[in-house]
Amino acid sequence: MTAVLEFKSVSVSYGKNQVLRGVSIDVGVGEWLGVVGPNGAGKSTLLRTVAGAVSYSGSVLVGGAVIDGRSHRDRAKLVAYVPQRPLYPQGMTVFDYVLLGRTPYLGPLAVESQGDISSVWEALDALHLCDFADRDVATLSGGETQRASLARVLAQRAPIVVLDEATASLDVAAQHEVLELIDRLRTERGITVVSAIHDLTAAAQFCGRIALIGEGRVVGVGLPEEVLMERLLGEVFEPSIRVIEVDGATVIVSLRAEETPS
Amino acid sequence: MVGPIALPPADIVRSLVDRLPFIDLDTGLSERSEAILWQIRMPRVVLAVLVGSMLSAAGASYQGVFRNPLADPYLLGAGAGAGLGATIAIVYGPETASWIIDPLPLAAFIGAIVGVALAYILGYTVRSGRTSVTLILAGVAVAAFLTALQTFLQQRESDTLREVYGWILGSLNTAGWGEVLLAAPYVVVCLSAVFVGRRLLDILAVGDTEAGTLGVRPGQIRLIFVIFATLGTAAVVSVSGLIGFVGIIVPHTVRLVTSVSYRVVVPLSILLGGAFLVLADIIARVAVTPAEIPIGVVTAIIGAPFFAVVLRTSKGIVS
Repeated sequence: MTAVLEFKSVSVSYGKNQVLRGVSIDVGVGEWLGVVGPNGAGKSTLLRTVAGAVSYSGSVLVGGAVIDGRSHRDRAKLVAYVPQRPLYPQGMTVFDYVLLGRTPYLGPLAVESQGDISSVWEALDALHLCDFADRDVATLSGGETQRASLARVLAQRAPIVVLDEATASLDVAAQHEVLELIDRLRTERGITVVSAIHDLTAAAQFCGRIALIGEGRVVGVGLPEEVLMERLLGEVFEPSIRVIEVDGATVIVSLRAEETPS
Repeated sequence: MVGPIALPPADIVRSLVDRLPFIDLDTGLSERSEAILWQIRMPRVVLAVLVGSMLSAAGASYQGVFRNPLADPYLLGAGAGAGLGATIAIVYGPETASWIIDPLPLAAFIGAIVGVALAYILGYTVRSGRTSVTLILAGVAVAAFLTALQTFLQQRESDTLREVYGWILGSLNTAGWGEVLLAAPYVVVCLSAVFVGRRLLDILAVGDTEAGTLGVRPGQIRLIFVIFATLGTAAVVSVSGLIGFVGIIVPHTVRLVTSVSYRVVVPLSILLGGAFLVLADIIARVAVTPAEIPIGVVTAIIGAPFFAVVLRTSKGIVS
């Protein structure tokens, strides 16, 4: 595996509270790495280190080159990031929102070129949003806003895409639709995806590899079937987790403790 | 055109053309009318354009960098600082005629800049972290403190009360070419800066974290816009006093009618702001001739109902 993204002993502290403790993970070109773990395990923080949105010790490498201390602009050309709860500015059109993805390629005083405009249209087209270009981005539905975020990511033309809980607020059907879109874009364009994901069943189906994080440490990294095992998940989440097979797919559920008759 | 002495519009146009190089026209205006046009009314119109466009662009900048629809050019203490500076100059200053430089605009200008600088220093030394909210709160604290000092001075020296109060309300009635020349360089530089950088304000709309991952430094952008907005505001306030409401109402009207993108809001605010203040000044001059209404009163009296109508008939986007 050629690693396009490498975490080398990455640690993060918020004050005295150490959130990540020496995390080392390699991510291959065109791979989809799913980062799973309980709330507060450090998933979001790990993703924020790649995006340069948090200060850390250790190193992050992209394409073999250390990117720590690189300018925001240089980083933005390599890594596109969608936070857990993106802010969709009221009144901003979908087109203008996606155009923000061109920021790293525009000097501080530059005006967007025809090339930038066509990049935006191309991204809108890829996510079936052309008819939405003039709509207020804050009035879109959950699935549509996720598509707008992905369009912005595409317009950014970064080889690595970092998604923090891209589908957290979506219903089952919309979640699948967005995950399929991400997978299609990944395979078509050779983009490397790193995403934090709560739905372990979806992670098992969509992610090529899984990193299981617990209390700021890597508990396991590998193929879904190597990591999403009852023993490991039981250690990190709770002992009642069961991994079952349905039509050849892995389904992960948490069973309710049996009620004891009073 | 409009005023206690009527000047025919056609003659004004002829007089304007006459001023162009290599053109010599009979303007039809008497020498006295020419003087009224060129020494009294024209500088006043030009100053109204400068002040209105600068306050509107500064308001739009502040609203953008603080992502706050209530932000106006006086948010960080520029108004309170200028008010204190002007009051000190009026109360303790020497007779204007004895100085080469008029101390009043200078004191107001320095006061405005000191006010914002204090707010920035206070906001950036907060231990819990530098966010735009701590900066706004620091501005509120600084403005309250400086206004308290200003009110104290104003009340203590009651013989200058009327003059101080008149200045605070804002006026263009002392405008001459001197005031225009004083403010114009700052306004031209600051408006140009805000205009060429306006796209950056759109990036800040998604919040500091995301803006950072898009490749910009939000803190730096905020500082640069605050510097230019403050410098321009200080310059126009120093010659016109604290004209209120323009910096809020004009950018919001543009937003409600056209687009929230600062690529549109900034240029249209500059145009509309200048036009709005010229109109407000005409009303201030002629509504109760020969007396004058303070222009700050006019901007609110015609501005507020107009804004209410725009607000009701638009799609309702204010942020």
